[in-house]
Amino acid sequence: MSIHVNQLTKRYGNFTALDDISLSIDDGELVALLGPSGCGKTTLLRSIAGMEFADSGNILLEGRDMTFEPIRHRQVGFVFQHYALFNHMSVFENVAYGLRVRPRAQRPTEAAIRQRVHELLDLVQLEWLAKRFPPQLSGGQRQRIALARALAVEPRYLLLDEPFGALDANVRKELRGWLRRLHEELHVTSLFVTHDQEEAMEVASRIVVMNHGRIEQLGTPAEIYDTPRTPFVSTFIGNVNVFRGCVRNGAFHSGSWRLPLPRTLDTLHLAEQNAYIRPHDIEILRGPAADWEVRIRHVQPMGSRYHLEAIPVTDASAGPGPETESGRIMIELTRQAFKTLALDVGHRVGLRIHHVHWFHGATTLQ
Amino acid sequence: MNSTTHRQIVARQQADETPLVRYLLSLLAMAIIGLFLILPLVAVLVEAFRDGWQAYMTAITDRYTRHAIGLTLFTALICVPLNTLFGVAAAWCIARFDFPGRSLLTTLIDLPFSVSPVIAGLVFILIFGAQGWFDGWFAANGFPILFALPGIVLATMFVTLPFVARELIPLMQQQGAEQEEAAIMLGASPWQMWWTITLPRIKWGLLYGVILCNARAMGEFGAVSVVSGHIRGSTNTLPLHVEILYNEYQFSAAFAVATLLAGLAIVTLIAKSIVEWRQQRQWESASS
Repeated sequence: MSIHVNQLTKRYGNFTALDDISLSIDDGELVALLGPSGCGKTTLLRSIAGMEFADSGNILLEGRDMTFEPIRHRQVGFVFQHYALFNHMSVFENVAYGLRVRPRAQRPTEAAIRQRVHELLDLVQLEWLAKRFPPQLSGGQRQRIALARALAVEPRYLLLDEPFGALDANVRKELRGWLRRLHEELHVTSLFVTHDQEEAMEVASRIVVMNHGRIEQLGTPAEIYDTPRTPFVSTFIGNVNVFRGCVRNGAFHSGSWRLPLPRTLDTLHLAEQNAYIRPHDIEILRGPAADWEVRIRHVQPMGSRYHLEAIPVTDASAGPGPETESGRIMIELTRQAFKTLALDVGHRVGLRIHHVHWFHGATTLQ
Repeated sequence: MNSTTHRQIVARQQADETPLVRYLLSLLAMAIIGLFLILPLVAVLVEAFRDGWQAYMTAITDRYTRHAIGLTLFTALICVPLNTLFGVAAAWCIARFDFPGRSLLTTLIDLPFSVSPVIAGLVFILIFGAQGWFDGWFAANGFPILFALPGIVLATMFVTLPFVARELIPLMQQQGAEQEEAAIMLGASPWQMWWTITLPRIKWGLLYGVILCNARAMGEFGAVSVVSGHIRGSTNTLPLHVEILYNEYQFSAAFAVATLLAGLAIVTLIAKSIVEWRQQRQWESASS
């Protein structure tokens, strides 16, 4: 049950929601469409579902061109951000709805409907709510019912539009794991929209990162995080320190700070070049052998990890410090490392850089 | 704003006023209600029974009165369903689709509210009258519009056109289209979606609009007066009949017939309150 999107473009007046999007999703995958609001991810999802029609390009489901097919021929299950449960029907009737509206010839018997609904309520572990009405349920329960309702018609594709966007943080976390396990059990090709990178990383087998109606990168969570293809992906997924500077004499310069360059860059002279460094790719050292020197300004314990903010030490001898976007350098340590180093606010420490992402224009350099 | 905070605000405002001001304001409000709402109602009843029960019964079972009742009911029977249909269709278009002329349509629906009913009646005279655009063509061909049932129906339709649409547009806009989209995604046909999702969700608002539309259809005077011709036993609706009786100095008969309209108003008010209460409950459950 594969999904192929070919050169899909959609404009609303002057606004380009989808700009030449091409995308392939294999049978049984669980893929996240990730991006900031207005990046086109929901438009893409609704186009695949058949609720929107693109200006050009086409959508193939299982190899068949479905671009202009009506919704009911696409066999898609859709889960809405705000659940869209039928408030005037019981939970049972909500789940049964897709079976009851079938043409008479294809409609299951009442007994079969009953059995199917109870199976699904069992699957989402909410059997005991069958007689309640949606307004009586919590947000998490409503979304699980919405999912059961979408699954009732045995869709070949499951599309979820910010499924956990309206829920509390801890309910959201719980449902993420639950959705992933459910997918492992059912193996229905699934596509979900989110603006939460953590959610995408945690649930999806592959992530499509979108921005301004374009796909920035498509890959597994590890690929996206470890080898971001564009500056946007690097800053949108996880935290990153962006050092502004230039390239000359085979090295990167930011203020008085220097970094060696990868071979692809060191022959160039660039007036403007940024270095993207993840907070956990920076090691803190006591004493010499450090690349740079900083003073710790803030310590934030985050449970198993510690987030630190540091500012460059600017001595008369050292010259001006590097230029970062916030003026501060974010460093992330394990709890273990933090305790071993016995760090505190005000300490002057050395930094060693373990990994840098370099981009030339909009593309990555290895 | 939920009702708890609303009550708190009201309570705070009450506390700000001195008892004397509160007392005077309440008294003033009650005096106004008594003078303008209760007193006329009482006057209608008193005048209707001035000549006794017998005279009252005679007046309302009079041949012409019965005909006027029939005509009024018949007119409402045509106008209310048609305007319900139109109102639902218009609200559907305006709340669910974006199309050129959408705001113009919204404004036009309000036109009958902003135009004096007399003008509305005169417009129909202008169109269908002997010196009008059609120069009496319809009448000459055996299908008179003015001073006949079609004219009364047209005038009533015009005047009562906004009620259902006005009630449904904000309701449907507030509800949004998501549940309808969900129904379609689950394989429902548009027709199934309408009967199982859209209609149950708007039914109280719809009923409220229909009740108001009906009350106005039965009580309309101005526009109907202009086009009807006041032919007793033929084109006389209840409100017109009251006027005729009054002009003929048959005061107690006029008031007797007026009690029928007053009764309609009271029934409408009760029905309206019940529907309002149900609708409020539905809104609360929808927004929780």
